[in-house]
Amino acid sequence: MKIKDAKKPSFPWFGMDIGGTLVKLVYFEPIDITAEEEQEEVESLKSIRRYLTSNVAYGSTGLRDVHLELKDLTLCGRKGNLHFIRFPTHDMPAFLQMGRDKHFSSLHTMLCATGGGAYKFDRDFYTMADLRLRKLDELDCLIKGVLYIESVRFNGHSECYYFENPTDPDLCQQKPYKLENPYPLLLVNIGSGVSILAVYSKDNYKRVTGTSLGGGSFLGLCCLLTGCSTFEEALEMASCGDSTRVDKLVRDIYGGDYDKFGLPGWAVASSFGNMMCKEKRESISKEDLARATLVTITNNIGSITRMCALNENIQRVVFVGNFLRINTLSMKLLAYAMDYWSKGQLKALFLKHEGYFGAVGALLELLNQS
Amino acid sequence: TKMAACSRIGRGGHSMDKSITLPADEIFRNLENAKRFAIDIGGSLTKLAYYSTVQHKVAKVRSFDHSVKETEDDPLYEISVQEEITARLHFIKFENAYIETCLDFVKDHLVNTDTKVIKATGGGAYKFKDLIEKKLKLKVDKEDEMSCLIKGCNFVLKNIPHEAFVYVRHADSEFRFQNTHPDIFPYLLINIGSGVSIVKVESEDQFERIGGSSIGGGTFWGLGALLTKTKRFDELLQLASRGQHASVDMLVKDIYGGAYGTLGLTGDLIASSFGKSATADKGEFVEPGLGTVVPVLGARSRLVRPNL
Repeated sequence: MKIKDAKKPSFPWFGMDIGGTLVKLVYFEPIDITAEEEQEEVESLKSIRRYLTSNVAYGSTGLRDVHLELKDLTLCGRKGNLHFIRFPTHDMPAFLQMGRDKHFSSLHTMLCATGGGAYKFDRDFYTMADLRLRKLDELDCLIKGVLYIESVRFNGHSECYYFENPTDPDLCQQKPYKLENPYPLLLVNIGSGVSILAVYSKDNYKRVTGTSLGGGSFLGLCCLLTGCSTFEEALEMASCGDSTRVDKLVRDIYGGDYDKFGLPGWAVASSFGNMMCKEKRESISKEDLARATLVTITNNIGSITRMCALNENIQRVVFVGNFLRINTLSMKLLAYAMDYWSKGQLKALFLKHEGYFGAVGALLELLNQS
Repeated sequence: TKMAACSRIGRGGHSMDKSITLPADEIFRNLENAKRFAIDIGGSLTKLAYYSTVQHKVAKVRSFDHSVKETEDDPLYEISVQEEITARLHFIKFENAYIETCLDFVKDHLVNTDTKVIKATGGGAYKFKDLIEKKLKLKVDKEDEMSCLIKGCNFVLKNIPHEAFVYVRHADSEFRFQNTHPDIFPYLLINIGSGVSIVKVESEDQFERIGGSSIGGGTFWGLGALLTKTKRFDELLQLASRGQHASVDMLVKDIYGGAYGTLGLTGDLIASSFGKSATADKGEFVEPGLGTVVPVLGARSRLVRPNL
């Protein structure tokens, strides 16, 4: 008979991050289940495992990012695959309903969750699905998640990468980056809003500042200005637009560069600054507006990040968060801006698992505390 | 010095003075005697300042010592009327779109002056130099906008009482006007025009631009014009003052259900500007933009402060 390790929590193993716009869920699928274990396995547990691993879409808005799956991972003495699932926070009620229908509470009365929603939906989890949440701080989880994923590597590949020649469409390349001796590090989490953290060691970090102009602002403004309704649509439009027709550049004011302060003519002096003029408003397209929104939000984040890096005396900046999902435009802009305005002193780094680190951190806490 | 035409927040004052559209003739007071002219052509607005004299009659009363009255007919007092000339500094602003019209007007009224030179600053001093010289038949002397800005600020901070003020929200007296102070350095100067510049001022002539933002007044105006039916800046401001941003912005309490205690972020703080707009009803939309621009600038100022 297999002696059960009393320290390990029972399956299923989940980590949840309930953000302002998206819910991120990580699920550990064990692949080393013995025949004996399988026999003893409760039906509802089997059903959950099958439901999650044999589908890539759940309900009408849930999605599993298959390309991010971490295979053959060893966690807490068990071997398995780590799956990454997301759905809009807006659909929480449907998720809770499903949890109830699948009798999740009979398996697991404690669920590790982070993000603001862990607090906001605490009661709903209990009343609608009979589940208790172990609430964890989102920044603690973010840091733990980043450090963990970086250490296990992405199926043998590097989790961390950067852009070489970000503004040259022909020469721009994504290159792996070895995040050895990572401290000190500036971690910029771009979700609905933005948090900027200075990380000095695995247990020592502080939230330096943040900004309310984040991914939620990009999506919200784009929807208002162009009539689109999804993040994918907004990005599609932005990729075809020209923001310089919407923004007022230094050269529009000076006729060229503003040499005294090293401001090149192509720099944006006033975002959306041309839109006070009727003729210009009538000559631009929805795509131009989407692009201008993307550029404004991205550059603002880049600018604040640069100031933080300067104040904290940190040269390496890691950008994470779901605003960067499928958003190469913003990543390249950030890479270029950090390099240009710091005269090569700062390096912009990115991680493949973008917005899932909080959920990973929550999962790690589940395995830690038992 | 007296301000002939300027706008002040919270004080009464001519609505005409606050407008940035084509200025009415009356705005340009005492133009005939203008002695010095300066123009600042920014990204969206042109600012004009001129120094002129005003001639007026002043009644002076002189009373006599009654104890030494010699006759009954001696007067008790004497009134004399004198001509006095006082100096005045005038301020005018208007949208760049009206620049040619205004220059023409100024030229037509500049009659009593020996002025040969006009000092110009701002990006437009470079861009519109030829136009100004042609219209006003004056030589344009270009000055750097940051230097002028600092000189101007230093001057008013040191010499004009109640020019500077502190704003205290919800207080009995919201605007606290400051007296002049001889020792003003160092100070952080944040210039919010079309865009924003953040300057560290250490002395009369030592200053450094330490940062800035492209999200400024131009952004508010541009976004406001795009998102609402209102296109004029002053009207957008009025609209903003009546708007309820909480239905458009995602607040901390929308994500957390309350405050984010460990970080000291209260529930009413904005977590994501326009964060609710993706799913919002696209009907009548009231401008929350001001709420976005202001926090961005507040955050920036705090960030640069440690270096001061």
